Amino acid sequence: MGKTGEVEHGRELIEFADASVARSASLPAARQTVREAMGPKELVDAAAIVGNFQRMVRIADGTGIQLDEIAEVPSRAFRGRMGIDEFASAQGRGSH
Amino acid sequence: MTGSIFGDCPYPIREDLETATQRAWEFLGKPGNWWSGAERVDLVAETRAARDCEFCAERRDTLSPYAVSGEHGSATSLPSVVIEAVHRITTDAARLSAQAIQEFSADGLDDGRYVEIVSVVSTVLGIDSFCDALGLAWLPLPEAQPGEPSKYRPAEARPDVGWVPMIPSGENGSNEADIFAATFVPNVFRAMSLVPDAVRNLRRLSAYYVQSVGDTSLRTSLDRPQIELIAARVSALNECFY
Repeated sequence: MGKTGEVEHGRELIEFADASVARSASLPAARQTVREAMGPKELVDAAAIVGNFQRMVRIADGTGIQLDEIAEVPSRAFRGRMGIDEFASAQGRGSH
Repeated sequence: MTGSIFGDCPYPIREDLETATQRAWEFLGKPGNWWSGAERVDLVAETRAARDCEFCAERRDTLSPYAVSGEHGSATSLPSVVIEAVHRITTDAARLSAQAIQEFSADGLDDGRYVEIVSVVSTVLGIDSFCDALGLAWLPLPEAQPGEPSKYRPAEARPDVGWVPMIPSGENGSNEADIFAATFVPNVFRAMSLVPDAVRNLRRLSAYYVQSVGDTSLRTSLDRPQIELIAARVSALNECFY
């Protein structure tokens, strides 16, 4: 069982997300790992979250929306620390 | 699961997830606000072509999307500006800009048609990515339904917190009361409100992001930190600021 911070099976889920987004050759193994470590229902729900955010990022970046006011201030410190404000999609997007 | 829209899926897919997917997929074949059913099916096919487009792959490796020129690996006879928009949203959305949207408009792709493209592309990618993640075949192209686009444009839509007009918070008319019923509507749920049916379809797909709160019949097997870890990872891989 791989923990990432305090997230149970975090490592397996990250590898699954990475392989899914990239459609890489490692995807079958990553899928099998999640299935064996967590279970088939958990695998399906993890795939659904991948699908959900593959959709939502296109909506956000396709329309150029700003951050919601409720999220802008609380996220300011970690956005800078994690380099999120340096993403190409952050350019010209300002806050609410 | 015999009879599933996902074919002989070896995994137990939640009923609400399957129902939402089926309705959203059928929606893609129906006439929209600005595109006919047949044109929307072409947009679905073009989105899939974009994922394997060699020119898009080459362009993604450049410092600027304007640094190289070439031809897209296309699957349809849609106008070139439409193909460009579909491929940009699919493969290089993080580098879209207000300038790009203005250029699309100058080439004849107006804001209503563009927002509807965002809706179709994002829906296809969400569902196809789910299938990819589980090793399932993509759903067959939706069946194009007859009829004309409604050409409906909400009177309240105007420039707000994005590059396209949208309905500002609290300013919706009665036609859109259903999609603005909540006290707080995040920007991402208002982003496509120039095409209200696109927002309705997005809400339909909320089954993909069920959290372990509220309706216990829809409870996901993942806990909140696991959900948010995947969400953050996928967003970061796409370099999504939002």
